[in-house]
This record gives sequence, C-alpha cells and structure tokens, in this order.
Amino acid sequence: MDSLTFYPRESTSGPRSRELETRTSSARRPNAASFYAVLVVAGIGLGLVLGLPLVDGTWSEVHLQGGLAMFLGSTSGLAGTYAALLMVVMASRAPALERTLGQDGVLLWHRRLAPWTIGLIAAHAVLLTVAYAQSAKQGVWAEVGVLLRTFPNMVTATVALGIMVLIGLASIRAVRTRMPRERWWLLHLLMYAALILAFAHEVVLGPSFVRHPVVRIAWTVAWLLAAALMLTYRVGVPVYRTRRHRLRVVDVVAEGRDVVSVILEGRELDRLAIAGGQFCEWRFLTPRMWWQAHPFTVSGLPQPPYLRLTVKGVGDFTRELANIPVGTRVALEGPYGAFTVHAQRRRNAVLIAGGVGVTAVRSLLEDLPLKSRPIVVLRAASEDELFLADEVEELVRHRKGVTHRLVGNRDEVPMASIARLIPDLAKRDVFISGSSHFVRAGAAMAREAGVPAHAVHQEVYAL
Amino acid sequence: MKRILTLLGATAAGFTSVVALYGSPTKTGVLLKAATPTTAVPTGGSTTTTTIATGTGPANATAVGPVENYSYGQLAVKVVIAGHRIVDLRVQGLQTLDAYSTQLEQYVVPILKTEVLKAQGIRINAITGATYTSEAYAYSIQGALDKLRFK
Repeated sequence: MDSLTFYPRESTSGPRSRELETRTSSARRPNAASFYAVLVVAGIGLGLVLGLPLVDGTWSEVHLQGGLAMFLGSTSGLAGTYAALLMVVMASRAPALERTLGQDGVLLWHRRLAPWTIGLIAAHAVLLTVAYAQSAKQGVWAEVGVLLRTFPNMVTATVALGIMVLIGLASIRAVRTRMPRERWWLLHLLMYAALILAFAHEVVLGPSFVRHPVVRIAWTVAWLLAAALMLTYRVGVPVYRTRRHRLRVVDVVAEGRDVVSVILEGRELDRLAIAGGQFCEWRFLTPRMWWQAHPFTVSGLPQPPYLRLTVKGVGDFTRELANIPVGTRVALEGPYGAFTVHAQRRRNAVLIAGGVGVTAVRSLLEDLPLKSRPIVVLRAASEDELFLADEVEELVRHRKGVTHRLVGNRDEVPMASIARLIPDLAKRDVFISGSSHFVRAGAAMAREAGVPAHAVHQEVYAL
Repeated sequence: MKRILTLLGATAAGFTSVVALYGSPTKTGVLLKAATPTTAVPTGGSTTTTTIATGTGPANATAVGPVENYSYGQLAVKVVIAGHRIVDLRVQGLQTLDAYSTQLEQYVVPILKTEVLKAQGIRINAITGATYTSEAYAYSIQGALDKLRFK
C-alpha cells in the first residue's frame, strides 16, 4: 500500500487512512440524449440565423443593383458570427458541455468551426463592400473609404476583422507550430477583443437587427449568455476554487527521465470533485510563470491534504518546473476531461498508456471497482521512460487484473501485438492515452479488433 | 449520419419557424400606386414604381409631398414639374435621429434623385442598404404627385 501514497518526503503530518474504494465524483456519465440536445439547439440557432435575411428585407431586394451581394454578405456575416458564438460557448468549457462532447470533442469542433467562422466573416466584409459599391455605382476601393467614413462602428469592425484574419493565419498548422505556445495563446485571446469590437456594427447596421427589436434583443442576450458562461467557468469558478483550496508546492519528485511529479498541499481537497483520468489547467504563481496555464494530469486522486500532478518535461516551461521552489502558490482551473470511469459502457476495461499517458491511467484505475479485472498495457520506448508503473501494478493487483509492460520502439512493439495480449478485447471498453500518434494508432487497433466506437475512449497529450 | 440528419432537421425547424413567424416580409419595397390606372404592377418586391402619366396633370407645377417618417428620421420631398416632366426634387424638413443617418441621407438622396429624374417615374430602384430612406423618399414624391393630379 505504501507505493500508492504520494506524501511529500519530509512530511510531518502522517498519512490519513484512505480507502481504495471508488469515490464519487461530479463528472457524471455523458449520455447520447444530451449530445443530440446540443446538436438540436445548435441547429435551431443556425436555422434562425439563416432565416433572418429572408424576412428582414434583404432577400426581397436581391434583384436590385448590389442586392445579391448584399444578401450573400448579410447571410455570411450572420452565419459566421453565429459560428463564432458557438465557438465562444465551447471555449467556456461549461462542465455540461465538456461531459457531452468530451474535452477532445470540444477542441475538435472548435478547430472544425474556426475556418468557417473566419472565412464567412471575411466573405461578409468583401461582399458587403462590393454590394454598397454596386448600389452607389462606384468603385470598390472608393467604397471602402465611404463605408469607413460614413457608417458608424465600421472602423472598430474593420479592426476586428483584421484581428480575426491574423489569428486565422497564425492558426495554420505550419505557422502555429513555429510559434511558442504561449505567444499563440496570447494572440488567441485577442479574439475576444475582436468579437466585442465587432458587436456594435452588427446591431446598429445589420438589416436583421435595425427595426427588429426582438431579434436585436435575442442576439444581444445570446452573446451576453455566452460571455456569462465564459466568465463564470473560465474566471469565476477557477478563482473560487483556487482560493478555496489554497494549493502550494510542497515537493517535486523525479519519476524518470524528464518526468517530475509535483506534490501540492491544499485545504478542503475532499471537496474537489475530480475523477480519475481528469486534468486541470495549472498556473504556478511565480513572477515568470503566473500568466501561462498548462494542462497537467492529476496522477492520482487527491489524498487530502495532498494532490499530485505528473509532468513530462518537453517544453521550456515543463523543464523549468523541475526547479520550482517549494511554497509556490498554485492556481487551478478545472478539473476537465471525459477520460473517466463515467465514460465506460461495458463491464470490463482495458487501459492502454503510451509514455506520459500513464498519468491518466494511474488515476483512472483508482475509480475502477475492485474485482473489475482491468487489463493495463504500459507502453514506453525504454525502461527509464516507464514511470508510475509500480503504482499501476499495485492498483491493478487490487482489482484482480493484469498489467503488461511493453518496452521497445514502434517497430519492436507494434500496436497489433497489444491486441494479441488481450483475448477478450472486443468485449471491453478501451481507454487509450498518450501522444496523438499513439492514441490514433491505438484507437484504430481497437476498432479493427471489433470494439465499437462508443467504447473507445481517448486522451491525447499534446507534446 | 444520424447526427447530420438531426442537425439538418433542427436547422430546418429553426429556419422554418423564423420565416413563418416573420413570414410576409414587412413592406420592404415601395409599391407606389400609379397616378393613372394603366401602370402595370411591378413584379419585383422592392422596385419603386411611380408613374407620371404625362398630360393628365398640369404641365408646370410645384408640390411638396407629405412628411414621411421612417425608422431613422423623417423627410418630405418637393417636386418641381415643368413641361410634364419632373425637373427637380428637393428634400425638405429632413430630420434624422443621429449623425449616422444624416450622413446616410447625404449619401443616398443624390442617388435617389438621379434615379427618379432619369426614370421620370417609370421605375426607380430603391437603394440597397437604404431601403427605409428610399421608401420614404418615394412615398413623399407619390404624395406630391397625387396632390397635383387629384386635388
């Protein structure tokens, strides 16, 4: 049992007794109905928005000089801004939404919608400039000047468009990968400024809103709700939880090559509703680090007053973390993630961890019931990259399961060899965590072995 | 597939409900009743049609149309007719709600004037993006023409 506690090495407070039973957590099971509810709400909203240009007079002018461009420009502006609204709602990480779509799902939809949002809004600007130029029978470039000078809130809207296009360009993979994560994140934050700057021109000039007070109010309320969700879940709740738990670093333990565990001490950790497999966004409140938040997995359910996160040092930040002074205060946002026992659909599970992915598997195991006979596969390129393995083995033993340690490179230990280790693979839930490449390969292997998509659960570590 | 259908179905529901709710678009275009009953009703929704049947009214006259209120302000148009033709249009009693609308007037009114003078009441197109102003302008002209012919 000793290998499962992670009390700081020089702790004076003795370990409190702790059950290995499943503990309750707030991360409830997502269900298909709620997923469809999200789809229906999003679809109705899109339908309402697309219907507006048909009834606000824009459509009936479509045969006039510039009318077609005006109609298309209005429609694309509305659709693009509606997509932006959905993206803000998703970025709020409201727990209900995270549970329904999953952390990966939210990110995936965010990425899928992003090009549409920026593309449609850019098209809106071009089309409406052309429309007004045609309507006034003058050149497009001359019309740009007229629009900026004559129409209210157009200067701010143009600034907003510039920001959006800039963020769009920076998000192209080739550009983004060359930018430090922190800078990209700061640039990304400007999107909120852009959305605020653009709002005034929408309701003052948009034919769907002028003279249509109901529509204008509904639109404003929708945006205020999105802003409220954002402020509540990205600012309010994290500040509240940070103040409640008052976490600070009490120890940093080397776990293996480039891997450290940071042990935090805090108050009322029994009230932190975290499920095994979840992660938080952490901020270490030092003068150099406070402004960046990093997603690190909680590599073991809290053992009040302690909490442990385990990090593989890949970036500048994570390397710096190894030398973080004891006593540093820590802010948290979360917990996030749907890679939990609540996602399980079948009786038994197999947990496959590649490299650092073991952290999520380690804490998820704690939530599995005794005698659940889990099969755990720990995959690493070399022996010294295999960490937390002893803890995992002990947890698996308590649950009458089996642990496989697979060490070697991809060619020596191909994904297909994992399938051979688990005879009843097709009847189990499959949890896979690790790098995006590892998780993709693992999910493909599971699907090939006959595991249905709803029983394959993934947690991707962006390295 | 089921997900796509759900999304499409919901979109269709939202779309239908907004179109049904605000269905018949608020009088978007201006359909000016012709001074003489011979004028064909235009097919397009927002084409403004005024007809001046030359010969039915006075050859030379001046009239000020009624003050038309529209969502951004109000205006009245003075119509000058010489030799059965509209030769001049002047906006009178222009009041706007805000500076923006004033600027919009300065931008739109000359275009409308050119349109009417050129069309001589056969067909003028409302200016896209300035529908309400175009409407008010056309209604006021119609009012002025009505005064000249039927009073």
